[in-house]
Amino acid sequence: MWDLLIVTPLTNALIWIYNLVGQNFGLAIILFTVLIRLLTWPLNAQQIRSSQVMQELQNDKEWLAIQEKYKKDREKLAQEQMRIYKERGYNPFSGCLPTLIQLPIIFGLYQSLIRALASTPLGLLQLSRSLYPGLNAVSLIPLNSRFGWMDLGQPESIAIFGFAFPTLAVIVALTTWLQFKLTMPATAPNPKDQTAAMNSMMSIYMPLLLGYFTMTYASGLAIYFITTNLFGILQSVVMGRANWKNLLPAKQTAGQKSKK
Amino acid sequence: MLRTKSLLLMGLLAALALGLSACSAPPSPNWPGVTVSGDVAYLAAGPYVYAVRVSDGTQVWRYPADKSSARRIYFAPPTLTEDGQLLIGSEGSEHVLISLDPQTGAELWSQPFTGARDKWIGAPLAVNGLIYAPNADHSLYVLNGQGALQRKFTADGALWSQPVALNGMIYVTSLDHHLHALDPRAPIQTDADGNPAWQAAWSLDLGGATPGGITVGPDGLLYIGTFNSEVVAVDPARRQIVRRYRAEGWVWGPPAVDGQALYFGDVNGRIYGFALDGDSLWPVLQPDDAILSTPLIFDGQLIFTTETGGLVAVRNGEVTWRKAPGGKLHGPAVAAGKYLLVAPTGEIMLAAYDGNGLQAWTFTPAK
Repeated sequence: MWDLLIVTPLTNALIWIYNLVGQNFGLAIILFTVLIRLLTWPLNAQQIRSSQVMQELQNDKEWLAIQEKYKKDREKLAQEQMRIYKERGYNPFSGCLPTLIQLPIIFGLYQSLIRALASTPLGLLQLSRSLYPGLNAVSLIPLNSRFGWMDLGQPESIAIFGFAFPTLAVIVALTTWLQFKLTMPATAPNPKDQTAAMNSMMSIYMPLLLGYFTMTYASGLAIYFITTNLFGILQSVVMGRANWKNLLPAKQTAGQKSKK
Repeated sequence: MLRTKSLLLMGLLAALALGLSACSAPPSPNWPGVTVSGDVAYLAAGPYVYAVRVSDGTQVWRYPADKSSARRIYFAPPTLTEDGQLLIGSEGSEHVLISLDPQTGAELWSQPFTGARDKWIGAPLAVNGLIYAPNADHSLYVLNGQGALQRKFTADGALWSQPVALNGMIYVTSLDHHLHALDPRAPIQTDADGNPAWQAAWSLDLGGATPGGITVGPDGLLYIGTFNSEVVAVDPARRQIVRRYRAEGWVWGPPAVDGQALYFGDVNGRIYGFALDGDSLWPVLQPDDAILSTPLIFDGQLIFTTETGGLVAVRNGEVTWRKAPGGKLHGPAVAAGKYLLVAPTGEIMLAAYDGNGLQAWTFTPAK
């Protein structure tokens, strides 16, 4: 079922786009990613807005009051938190929805990418069975897996002084970090701000994890990650939610300075 | 709530890691290769190369002998040279071409050839003291008898099949949809990197990818199956396609050609027989699943192997018998005296049958 509904359609879509962009698989992945991000624009916009609401709550008087009042009664605290969410029209899990939706896309894209590039006899046989009749893929198969200096079916690296430098892994990590930083709401440092603490943690772990994936798996996946990150940054800018000040070192408050 | 959310995100990232790990390429990307010489069959099947006695299916030797040394993957059919070497290329992460003693399995070269950048899928051709080794990195490497590089030809697509020699020329098909003709007498040139290079004398567009190689017909034509759902006959003297034999599906392996006709299967499992002039001999048969290799002409009948594991014998356009050795059969049946041998991908690694489909023996190596 997964193959029928996800992998085979994605494989054919990639090959169709590949033919459209002059038999360039890298461009096909980029264009495919842009289309997916355009389709999920509303969901991602909702995630950005949710993040803003959550951040505002951290400095809300009523919110801070219930944290203090029910700090020893988790059940009551949870009830009060849900009440406030409801009053403010906020869904705490809405921020995860875009990520949840992206997961099957990432899995499906990776499988369809490997299938489309078919670097082994059994892989090519499997590809031959995945092609829709109207695609007329005879003239296209096998696909050209080269994109610049990389083979999109293999992990990427550039030899620098005899050392294999994973260029794309670094770019993926950087763009992921950049996207996190720009989409984090700009606020003054607050040691009690749990959202900021979580975002700060994620802005370190997520880039490292995705960078590691990129080093290990086919470089076509890295093209997807970079494109989706850059598009995410673009969406924040278009929505006016990109916080460029987050890229600067955090300023200390007068209270923090006087403690020293 | 925030803790729950962070745990959920971590869980999603873990799922991503696990999911991508599960998306990795399958462990066996190719199928076993078999070569027969006299009473010994040489089988390349995964981490080992086996020499098996044809008369009774017993193991003569295994390479490497030590399990701890088995770190490479071998599937390309081995090649026996005129001077008594057994050549095998490896797949997996190490792409080496090695030479073994056919009697003992001992390595003959002081160093394996490591100049290729990708898998060895097709068998090398050994002729006139030189080795023509096709690699998936698009290059045909020409080595001397000690494994030293003489020059290389580079196509625009991967080379998955064994080249052929005809009238002093070397012919090789590529996934770049072309047949390439190479003249060994051409002077050695140098490419931009200073490596000895070899330009094709001519190349011919066949209209589709050609993973399966070439059959040289008794009429001197080159018969090649293509993903353009046809077999083409190429006249090397005229450098053009002189006949086409249409199929309904992609044709992977080249046809078997006797003096009067040619026979082949397609990836949809259909079996075709054509007179050389193009007339169909009998209605298309479809006894089983995908056929990826050349049929064997054996004992007056055609022996096809099918992906679902079927061994199908056809005589005069009719299926005479069918057997299932167990496992899948992608590679061709190989003649070995009074037996035909097949190498399934399953627990049984080699099986021998007579012309009536009676199984003589099976070979399953000890673990």
